[in-house]
Parts: sequence; C-alpha cells; structure tokens
Amino acid sequence: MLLAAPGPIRVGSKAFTESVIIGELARQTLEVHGVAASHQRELGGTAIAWRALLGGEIDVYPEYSGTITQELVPGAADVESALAKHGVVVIADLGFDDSYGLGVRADLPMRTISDLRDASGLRVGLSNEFLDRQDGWRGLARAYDLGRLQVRGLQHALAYTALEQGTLDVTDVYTTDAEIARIGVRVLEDDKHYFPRYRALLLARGDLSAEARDVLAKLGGRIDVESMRRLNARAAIDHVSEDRAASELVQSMFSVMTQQAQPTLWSRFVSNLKAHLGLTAVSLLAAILVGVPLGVLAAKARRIGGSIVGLTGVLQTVPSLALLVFMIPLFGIGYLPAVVALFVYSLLPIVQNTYVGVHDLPLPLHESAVALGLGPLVRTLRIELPLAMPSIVAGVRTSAVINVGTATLGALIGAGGFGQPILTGIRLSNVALVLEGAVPAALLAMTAQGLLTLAERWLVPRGLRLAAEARE
Amino acid sequence: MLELKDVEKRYAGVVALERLSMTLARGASLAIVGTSGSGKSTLLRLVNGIIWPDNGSVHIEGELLSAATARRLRQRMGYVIQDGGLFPHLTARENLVLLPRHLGWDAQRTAVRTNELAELMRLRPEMLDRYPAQLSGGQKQRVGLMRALFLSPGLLLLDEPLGALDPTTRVSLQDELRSIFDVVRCTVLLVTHDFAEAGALASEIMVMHRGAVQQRGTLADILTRPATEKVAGMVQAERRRLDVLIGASS
Repeated sequence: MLLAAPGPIRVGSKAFTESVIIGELARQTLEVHGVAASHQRELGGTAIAWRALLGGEIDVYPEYSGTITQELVPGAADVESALAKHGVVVIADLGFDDSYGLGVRADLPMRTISDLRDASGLRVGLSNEFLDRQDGWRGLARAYDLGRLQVRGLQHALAYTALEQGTLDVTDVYTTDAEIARIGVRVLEDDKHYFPRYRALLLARGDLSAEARDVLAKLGGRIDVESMRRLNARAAIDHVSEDRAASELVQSMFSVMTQQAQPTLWSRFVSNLKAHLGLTAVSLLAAILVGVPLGVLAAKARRIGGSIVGLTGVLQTVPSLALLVFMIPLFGIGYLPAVVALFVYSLLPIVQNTYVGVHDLPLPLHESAVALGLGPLVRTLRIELPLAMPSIVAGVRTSAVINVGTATLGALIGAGGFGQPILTGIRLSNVALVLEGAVPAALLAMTAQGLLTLAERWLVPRGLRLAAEARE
Repeated sequence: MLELKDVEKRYAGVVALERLSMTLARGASLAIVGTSGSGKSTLLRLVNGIIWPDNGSVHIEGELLSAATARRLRQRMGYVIQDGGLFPHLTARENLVLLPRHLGWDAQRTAVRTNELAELMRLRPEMLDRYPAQLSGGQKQRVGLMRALFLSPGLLLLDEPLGALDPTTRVSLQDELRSIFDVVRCTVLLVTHDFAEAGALASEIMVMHRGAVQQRGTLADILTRPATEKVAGMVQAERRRLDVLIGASS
C-alpha cells in the first residue's frame, strides 16, 4: 500500500450527480480552509471508488451507509471496526438520507406511510424495479398492510410528470431526487423504519491528515435532505455545473467568496483533447513497438506462434469496462491503468496483421531470400517486414480506431479525455454535453484513420504499390 | 563440385526422393527432366539447403552442407526460380546489391559488377531502376540471373528458369543462356519438364519419375536408347507433341 503522498488531498466521487456535488463540496471546503485538494470526479461505480480508496489513489469519497453494510463490508456486526480493518474511517455524516421513499402530491393530506392505509381511491404508480425488488413494494405492503391499494407499474421518469399533471397520487422516489423540490412532492415519513437507510457519509483513509479530517468534519450534519435536493436540482434542472452548485453552498456555509473559474467550451475541448491524445498516442505507440515484434515472433516460432495470437485474441474478448476495472488493483486509477488497458486492447489487430503479413509471405520469395544466403535478421528487416507492411499498417489503423473509441471509457477511472463530457452528459441527460465529447472523439478517430492512410503511402514500399496496381 | 550421397526425402511419409547418389563435375551442366511430382524440385531445394534430407548428405566442393555451413555455401551458389524470384518492394538494382551490400562490398565495386552483368545480360542500365512490376517476364528473369551470378558462384541452380515466359522470349533467352553459361563457366544444375529446353541448356540430362532416377545421359542417348519404359513413354509423348506441330504446319 502506498504512503499518503504529501501533495493535495485527493477527493473522489462516483459517476452520478449527487456524488460529484458532494465530492466537489469536500474539495472546495478543504480549499477555503487552506488545505490543497483535488477532485477525481466520476470514478465509475462503487467498486472503482472503493478500490481507489483502498489503493491510496484517493483519500476520501462520499459513500452511503446502506452501500457500506451491504456491499463493502457485508454481514459485519460492527461496521466501524470492519472498515478499520481496511484502514478506512467514516469522518463525517453529512446529515441526509438518499434512500427509497414514497412521495405524494403536496395537496394530499398524508404525512406518513401509515397514513396511506386508510386513504381511499389513491392512484399509485410505482417504478417497475421497485415493484420487483424484494425490499421494494412487496415488503413494504406487508410491513404497512397496504395490500388493499391498487398499484400499477410505470417508468420512474414518467412518474414525476404524472404527479405534476395530477394524474398520479403516489410514487416511489429516491429521497434526494431533484424533482421533489421542483414539483413540490411530499416524501412520506417511513414511520415503521422499513427502508434501509442510506446515510450520506464521507469515507476516508485512516492516514488522512488530522488537518484535513478536522476541516471535512465541519461538513458533518450540515446538509439536510432539502439542501441536497436543491443541489441536485441546480445541476439536473437548472443545468448549473456541479462545481458551481457546490460552491454556492460552500459560500453560504462558510461565509466566504469562492471563485469558480468556469472553463470555456474551448478550454474544455483543449484539455480533453490533450488527455485523450495522451492516452491514445502513448498506448498505440507502445502497442506498435510490442505488437510488431510479437507478430514477427509468432510467425517465425511456429510452436509458440499460435499461443501468442491466441492470447492476444483472448485479451481482446475481455469487455473493455471489465479490463479497466481489472487494472485498478494493479495500477490504481487515472492515466496509467487506462493507458495499460488501451495498450492491451490495441495489441491484437497489430499482432495478428503482422503475423499474417509475415507468415503469408509467398513461398518463392521466402525461398529466394533463404537461397540468397541472407541471415535471418536481414531477411526479417529487409524482406519480410517491408513486404508485410500493407498488412501491418492496416492493423495499426484498426487499432487506432478501436483505441480512440475505447479511450472514452478511460473517464470512468479518472483518466479524463472526451469520455468525461460524455459521461457527465449521460448522467445529466444533457445532449449538448454528450456531443461535446462524442463529436470530437468521432472526428479524432476519423483523423487517425486519415493520417494512417497517408502514412501508408509513405510506409508501404513503392514497388509494392506498383505491383498492386499492376494486378488490378 | 557437387556430390549427393544416399540422399532420401519424404513429405509426411510420402517419398519425394528415393535414395539417390550422384555427382556433378566442375563446369558440367546437368538438366533434370521430369513431370511434376518427380522429385526434381525437391532435389534442387536439397542442394541449397532450403530443405534438409531425411537421410544421406550433400557436399559442395567437398564441404558438407549443414545448418552451420548453409549460409556460407548458399552464397557460393546462384539460385534462380521461375519468374526470377525478385523482391517486389526493391528495384532491380536494389535486388542485385542486397547481398553484396550486406557482405560489405563498397558502392564502386557493386557498380562495376552491376554494369558488367547488365552488359552480359544485354539489359539497358535504366531498366535496373525499375521495380519488378515494371519489367517484362524476360527482363525479370535476366535480373534474377544477374542476382544469382553477382558473387560469381561456382554452382548455378535454376528451377524452371524459362517456365513463365512466352514461347518467343523463351527460345531467344534459351540461346542466350547457353552462351552465358559458357562465359561464366560455372557448374549448372537446372530443372525443367521440357526435353528440348534441357538439351539446349545442358550437356547432360537426368530423367526422374516419382522420386527415382530413370536415366542419366546425353539427349541423344535418351531419345535413341530410353533406359526404362517410363522414359520411353515420356520421349514418345514429346515426339507426338512435335509431330502434331509439324503436321499442323504442313
């Protein structure tokens, strides 16, 4: 395990709005108290953030009590000591729950879930997932004796619209949903404490500096569920950036002015482009430097040749997201694991095409080279590789396109690039933001393809091009 | 010059070459004639170590051909295949100088030798800056031969050297080859399926069938006194081919 670096405190967050806002809140809180901090935002899901914390890639991130007890240390009687075994501590309970709940239109009189039992003629619409889950409607209806209610299934997103239009009275909610504040939905009190609690906490490494811990502890109990709904609404409905939403709260909480530099579209583009090119160029170059010799080796050493091509083929079949996750225990989060994963991914087309190009060299040419008395190295460098060049370049081109596309997933493990706006855009249903990443990524893939086509003219020996033209 | 002792070769259990011993004297020329599958190309490949015999040994100028000596010995043998075997990504000139450059010849020496051979082959020097795809079949074969002769080898191996050429080019190059062999004075071992070509290019012929030698002698010997029924049959077929030609013209 790495020692805590003396650099800025690294705050992490998962890839959903609330987590990003809290992460940003933590970072800005540290900053306004004079503690340098950075934010590794949108680290995929729980598994990625948790491993990043254990691996010392981040120092602190927001997590929910329900997730801790059910996923991180399942079955632990004493959660605190179970976390301590991993070197992790809870440093703040922010003050709100983000759990399942039932919401009703504000003009209805009910205050608690028990109140529903005696109501009549209620139109109840529940999301399909909630209807199916063991700890969803079935358990709830039993606990509160609600079997009498007529219930129908519908899409979660549609439920709020229906509530707003008055065509629905009750639906299931996440207690911090932005729409609750916007539409004015009343969340009924879970008076029988049926739903598991998802308290929002800050999880930190045990070696987090006392100074940082003291600062972050100031956030304890400072965000109630209404505040969190408003913050979510700022991002999801008002389309304000999470950074600004967080900074608004930090300013009012600590009575300070923070300056949130809003990066322009152009500056975001430039930094995403840099990150994306950094991932793609390095991993592709490494794949060429390793893949071409491997392909030659596979073509030459018949005994291991099949295994080399087979193994790179197997690596290719690992889903890209899974490959990224596998890299975290080995290389942490951020740039390095993303580059390594992309390298692995780019290998197959290059190895395979080099192998085919060298292996399928016409027999008369192979025999001529041997019969001439050229040594193996000279044969490879002067005859086999130049003759295989059209196939190798085609392989590199395929790799480059795969690489540029797959690199967008790097954002899930904090590597940045054009995947970042795509990820944020999907999360916020912001099409403009998705396009901000998707369009340049597609253009970059096409540019790579175009550049390699140009390079082909330069890399493929002229005599081969003439021979190809003569055959046509 | 060349000696094969009890050489045998099988491919996946099938006999490609039955036990064979033969010698070829310095400066002699021998054409191996046979149908496809007769073992004639196998024999040629065994001589320059592209493939290795299952049994027996090959000796060149008294030296045993082995993995250790192969590269050095190959450099003392010229090898020409059908269509020249030129590397398509290199110009004719680059094809020629590939090996001498690798062996450390300087530019001056390679240029002199290139011009010498171009003259011998009657190939205009500007042709040498073309890629194989820009040369005719006959030109390719001439360059292939130049490459084979570049280091003045003691032994020249030719596998169907005229096989890919049209009949007119074939006949004219055939005559030329004979006089070139006289000039360069190396031992020649060539493979063909054509008796007439064999007679024109070599002073001696060895007929092979299904991996076994049927007869070795001059063209006249073979035509007038075929040693086996198989040879007689092959000669007969060759005669009929000519008769048809003559009959059609008269």
